Amino acid sequence: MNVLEIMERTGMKDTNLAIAWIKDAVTEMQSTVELDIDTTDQSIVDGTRAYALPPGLVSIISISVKNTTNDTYERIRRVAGELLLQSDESP
Amino acid sequence: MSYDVNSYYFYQRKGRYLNLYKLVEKYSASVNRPDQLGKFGNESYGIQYPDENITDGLRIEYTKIPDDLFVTEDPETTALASLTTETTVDEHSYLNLSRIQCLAVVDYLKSQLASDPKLSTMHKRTFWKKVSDHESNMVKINVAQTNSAFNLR
Repeated sequence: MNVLEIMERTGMKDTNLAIAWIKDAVTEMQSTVELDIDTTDQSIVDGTRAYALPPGLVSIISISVKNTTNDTYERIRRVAGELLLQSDESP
Repeated sequence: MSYDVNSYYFYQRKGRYLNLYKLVEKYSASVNRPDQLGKFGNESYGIQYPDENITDGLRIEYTKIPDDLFVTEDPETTALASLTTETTVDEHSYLNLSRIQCLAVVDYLKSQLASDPKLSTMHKRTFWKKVSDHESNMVKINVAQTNSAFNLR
């Protein structure tokens, strides 16, 4: 189905707005359905806590850390709630 | 050297960043760690920032907006491998989605256009119904049942 057909079905006249809403619809779909999956690797640095999430991310499927004893990636768990930090240098 | 990483590493999402923590058992003052040490509530456990360098150590699997969302050929009649990504999206560009997903998009646009909140909600519900219909069509469940050789009939 092309953009024109979608516009005709909805009675829209503005192409740019239709394209923007189509992208919104796909973003909403991606939040629950896995349409397009990507994987990115980053190096873990000693003493560094924050790692940037990849651009264009809609939802996280899994986070893994490399087990260097056998070079495999193992899924790690998410911390629920707030961590009770005694002191923290970065905000 | 990292081992049992699924037991010792944890993450937390903070805005556009991912915070990575490592669990340390049996806290003692002699353990060399930065002063950002925290606790999980149990005195014998502490958390710290990652304490080692691991090349390509963090893997993030995620969903994103497809790069080839708009294509020049009709995906219903063209093989997936021979589709070309549209560089300039216009009204003649095709959506690289299945038919039912395109119909779901139509419902999404209708919900955005609807001035009546009830109508908007109805279209939004239809949108999610079609999205879930598409997903359930992809799942095929095979059930195998065996009868015991000594089963009484």
